[in-house]
Amino acid sequence: MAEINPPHTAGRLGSELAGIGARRELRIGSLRLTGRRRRPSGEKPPLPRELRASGWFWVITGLIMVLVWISLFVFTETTNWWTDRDMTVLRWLQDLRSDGVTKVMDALHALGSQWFIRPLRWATILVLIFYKRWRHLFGLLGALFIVMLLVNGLELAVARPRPFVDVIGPWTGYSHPSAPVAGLAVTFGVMGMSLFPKGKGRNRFMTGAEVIVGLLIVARLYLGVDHPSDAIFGALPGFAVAVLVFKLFVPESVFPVVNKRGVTAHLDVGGARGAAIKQAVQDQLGIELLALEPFGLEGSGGSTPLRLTVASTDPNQPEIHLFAKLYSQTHLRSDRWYKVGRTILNGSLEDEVKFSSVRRLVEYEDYILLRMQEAALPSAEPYGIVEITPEREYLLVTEFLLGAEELGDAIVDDAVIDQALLIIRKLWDAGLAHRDIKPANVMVHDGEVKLIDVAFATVRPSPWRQAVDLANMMIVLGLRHDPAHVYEAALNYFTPDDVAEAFAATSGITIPTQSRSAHKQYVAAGEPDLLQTFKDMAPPCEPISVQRWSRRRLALTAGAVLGLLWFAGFVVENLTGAGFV
Amino acid sequence: MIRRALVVLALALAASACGNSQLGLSVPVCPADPQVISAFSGAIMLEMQAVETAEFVPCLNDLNAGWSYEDLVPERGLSRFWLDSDRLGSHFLEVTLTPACDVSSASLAGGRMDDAVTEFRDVELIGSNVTIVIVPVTGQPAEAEHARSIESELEARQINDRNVFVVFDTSDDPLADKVAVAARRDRPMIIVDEQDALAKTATLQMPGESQSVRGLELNDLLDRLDDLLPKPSFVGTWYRVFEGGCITYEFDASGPGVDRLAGDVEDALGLFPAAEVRQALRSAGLLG
Repeated sequence: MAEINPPHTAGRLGSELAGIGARRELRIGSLRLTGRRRRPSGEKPPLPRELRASGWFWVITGLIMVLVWISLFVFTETTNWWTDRDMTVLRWLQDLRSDGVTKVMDALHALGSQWFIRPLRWATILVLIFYKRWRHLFGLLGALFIVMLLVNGLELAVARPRPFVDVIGPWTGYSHPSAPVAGLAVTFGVMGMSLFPKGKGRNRFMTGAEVIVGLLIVARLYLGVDHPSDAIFGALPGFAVAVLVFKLFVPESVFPVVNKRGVTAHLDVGGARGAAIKQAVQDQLGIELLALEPFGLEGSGGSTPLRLTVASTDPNQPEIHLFAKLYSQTHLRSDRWYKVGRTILNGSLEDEVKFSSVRRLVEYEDYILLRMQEAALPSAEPYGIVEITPEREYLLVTEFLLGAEELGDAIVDDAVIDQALLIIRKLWDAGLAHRDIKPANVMVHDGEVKLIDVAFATVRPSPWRQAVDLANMMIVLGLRHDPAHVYEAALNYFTPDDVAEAFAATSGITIPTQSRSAHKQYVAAGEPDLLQTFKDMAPPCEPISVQRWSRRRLALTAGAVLGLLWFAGFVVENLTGAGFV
Repeated sequence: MIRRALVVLALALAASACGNSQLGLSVPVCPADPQVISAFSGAIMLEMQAVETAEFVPCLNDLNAGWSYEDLVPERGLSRFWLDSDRLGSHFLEVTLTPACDVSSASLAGGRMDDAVTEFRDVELIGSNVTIVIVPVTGQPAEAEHARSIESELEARQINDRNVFVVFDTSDDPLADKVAVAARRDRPMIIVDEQDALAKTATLQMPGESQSVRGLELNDLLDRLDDLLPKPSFVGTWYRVFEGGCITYEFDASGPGVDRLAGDVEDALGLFPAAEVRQALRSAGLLG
């Protein structure tokens, strides 16, 4: 049993939990330990990345189609075999023609027209834009583009003429594969995958879509414009590409179809993922996880924060809470785009190196938390990393600051001010910078100030960044207490020149959005501008330039402009009917 | 696993694209032997299907260096493709097969066509050579000398991709008659009088224009010619009419090489009898 009782953790359970981080193993009296279990070699991870049956069906279908196409080129006599079969079916259909049926088939043939397909595609695109489901949108465009390339390439490569029957319907271009059938199939495929959550709704839609595509095929065969093999080999890749693109690049488990607006970076922690997290926490940390729920989602876009409820053996408190952050590739990409955006907007304030994988991202945050512990910086204690899907999803488990309040909501007295400024001093002394000092990340827990959300922190920061950390902390405190008092308190740990440098380095863009908003309200309430107030108190110091141009920033800005121009061209081209959408 | 499968698929597709087969005949090449037409291939067959009544379909023999074929776009009732050239421009020729066409604006042309084909042409050719007439007004030595210096400047250069040839009109005809003759022959005229000889200037009279431009120094003269002389071009339409169909050749070519374009196109584009394709298909059991 651990007997560590650090002063910053309240209560017996808290003191017991505190020992976890120190030793990185879980042997705590009140926690009900279920024992760790090493995953044997070859056993699937908790949440394996799988295509499942439908995915494999389409992969195998795709392989068969490719083999058939290859056979057309390698064994040319197979072309006659296909043609013979096709012609048998077409001649039989030709014999069934009558005026009435022909009218019906003419009407059904309109299902393959651009006037039917394009509105469906654009409606889907607009829905995805409305709900800001960009990943689904890119998946849709990617699938359409792939099918267009595939169909156009095969049309020219195979160069198959139309059937040698009496063709009574309109047609354009080569026969194989059938472009209208492929176009309709991929359209329905991407609609099903991007608009309908997995389940009955999507299954019904896909079944209906298959029926409609089937009707188009029947119409085209009846009218003699396609061979049966053209139509089938148009429909199959249409559906297959749509399903595979979404399963591989927009998996439902990571990018759920949620038809509501708002922050969508968070993962669904129910269902298979929820079960996998429970299993993984039990296996890898040896803790029995009773429940997990999203916690404080609105304050976090870089991960999915969770509150874990774990079992305790203490009869007075049978449950204990832990905090966890679930990281996935979505969050990794968000982090990358965030850094690109910061580089374009803010210039090269510091080197912003992207993480190469989710594993590296989580390892880094865990490492920073450990460094903070080592430097006696009060922060949430890390308990370990849990692997959910190798290289794709990880959980970082830490102490849960039960009852903690944001500094913006807590009572800020002299002790709080002193602790907060001491934290910055310790960060400076330890060669660390938090880089995101704002009210939401400075918590007051049982009268003790703690830093959270250290994902942006860095080791050996630039002096500029350290100065900005100090200014941001003084702004956070100044919003809640007399600025003169905060300045005086700062002089206990920093020289007047340090403070002067901090405010010379700080301008609008270096202040986190939350602090900027709070400051705006502060000024609107008739209070003086805090930045100017602190600058006036500190010795004079020339402003430190923030906007700095580098080759990387120039390249990224040029790339962003070009990307926007390309996108505008793409939209215009497709709206005028020339593009592939 | 998935990535490996995708790589295998990509390699397989690439390999198939390199395969030796009768497939991939998306270019309407004039077949040496119609019997080689596969049931699964053929731009020629698709053209035939587009205009089922046509006795001939357009096809390609050897293309000139720098020419390329682009896109066969067939649909029911029409088939079209284009030729591009690095010197004559993109889509310098559009070839369209239709069941019929209106030839009222064109003139009957003789040529190397099959007896079953009647050809009409409505084409305007601006050749690669241009002749400029220089007229020394009085024939005084100073005028002649200045005129010779203009001649040597003109012949030393190309204007708008056109080779310049200079002729002197020293006849005793009145100047107005000389201007009228040059205009009739579509030739620009440069007039040099005594004053021009002294000032090293000239007067430019472009064919079809009522006003001349006087007092042009040599550089201004050359600039003005550059602005006013059209590039060599071949613009217009040929029609080849036959039983059940018509092929329209729409030319919009400009640049060097237009003088030979008519002959080059006659060599590069052929007509293939649809009856032979039908016979081949009947032999293969594909047509009843």
